[in-house]
Amino acid sequence: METFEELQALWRNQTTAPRISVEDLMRRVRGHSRKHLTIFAAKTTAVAVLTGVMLSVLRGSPAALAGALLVAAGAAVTLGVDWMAHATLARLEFTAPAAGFVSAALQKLRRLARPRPVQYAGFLAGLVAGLNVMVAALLHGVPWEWRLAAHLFLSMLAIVAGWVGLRVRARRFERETRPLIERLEAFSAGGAEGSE
Amino acid sequence: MNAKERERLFLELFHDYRERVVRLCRGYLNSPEDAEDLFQEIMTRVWNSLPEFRGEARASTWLYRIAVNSALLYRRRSMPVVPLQDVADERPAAPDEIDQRERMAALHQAIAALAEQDRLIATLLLEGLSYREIAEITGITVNYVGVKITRIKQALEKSVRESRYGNV
Repeated sequence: METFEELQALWRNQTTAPRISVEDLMRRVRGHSRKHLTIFAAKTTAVAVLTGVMLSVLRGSPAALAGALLVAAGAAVTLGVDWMAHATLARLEFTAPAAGFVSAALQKLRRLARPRPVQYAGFLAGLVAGLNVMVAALLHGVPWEWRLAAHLFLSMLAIVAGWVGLRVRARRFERETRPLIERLEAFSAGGAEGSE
Repeated sequence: MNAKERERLFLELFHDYRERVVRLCRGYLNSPEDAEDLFQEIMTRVWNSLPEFRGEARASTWLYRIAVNSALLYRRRSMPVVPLQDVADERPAAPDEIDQRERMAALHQAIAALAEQDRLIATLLLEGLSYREIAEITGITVNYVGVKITRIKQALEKSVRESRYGNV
């Protein structure tokens, strides 16, 4: 027969040294925050380079230039939204008692699961307006039917791309985060009547 | 806290608590790979949180809070499994070690069968933490921790007994 005290002794006698050496761990902990910063810096650089290229190509046409700047502003808004979404979980108070931590995490995860359309409206509006301003400037002198077709096509393309992007993001979020939300809800339900 | 002091405190916590934290990870996740990954995640959070450590809570409570919260937020990379050789020592088994390994596997299975919150409480309890410490880590009242612990002890004893000796 196993008593709890025997199980406790058994548990504490496990040989469970971590596989990582302290030197490797120190390298990892020091480099951790750098990894996310590097990814964000790479995205920002890509947007900046694209903006730079557009500015240099379109510098002869102030209207097209304004359009390119609008597209760039939309991309900057998206980068900002992505950064905030990442920071949401990283900013949680990990040194708080678990019950409070779980309810804060659930609140933030549920908010992330249902992003408000306004968060992406900036990007979409910037993209549609910018592309149309560029088309208007660059196709000056082209018959109006062709210009209209180009405006409609690019607007539709931008809207469909934005919609597909939102759907992909929502599906990825659902796949990655649903099990986590369920686990946190299970934890929360397990101690609801005893939370301080 | 300057960089030197931060590193000194981190290494101190690492050496004092690494085995306990690894046991908590293994007890909660049941997968050695995930447990190792979670351990590194916990230590990274400990490192990042150290500048805010004011010593208001005991170092062990502070570290266990980070460990428990990180475990709850951890995204598993593999399916939970309880292979005998993974939950015990990996050295070649001496005859008297086999019984020890079987008991350990039974205990891990018993913990895995518990509810989400109870699994974490069980690992803290097996480490020998007091009711008050468990309450401070989990954020539930001492009285309710007491109620839970009674149930968890019975469940673990029963489950280990059944898997070792059958329904007796």
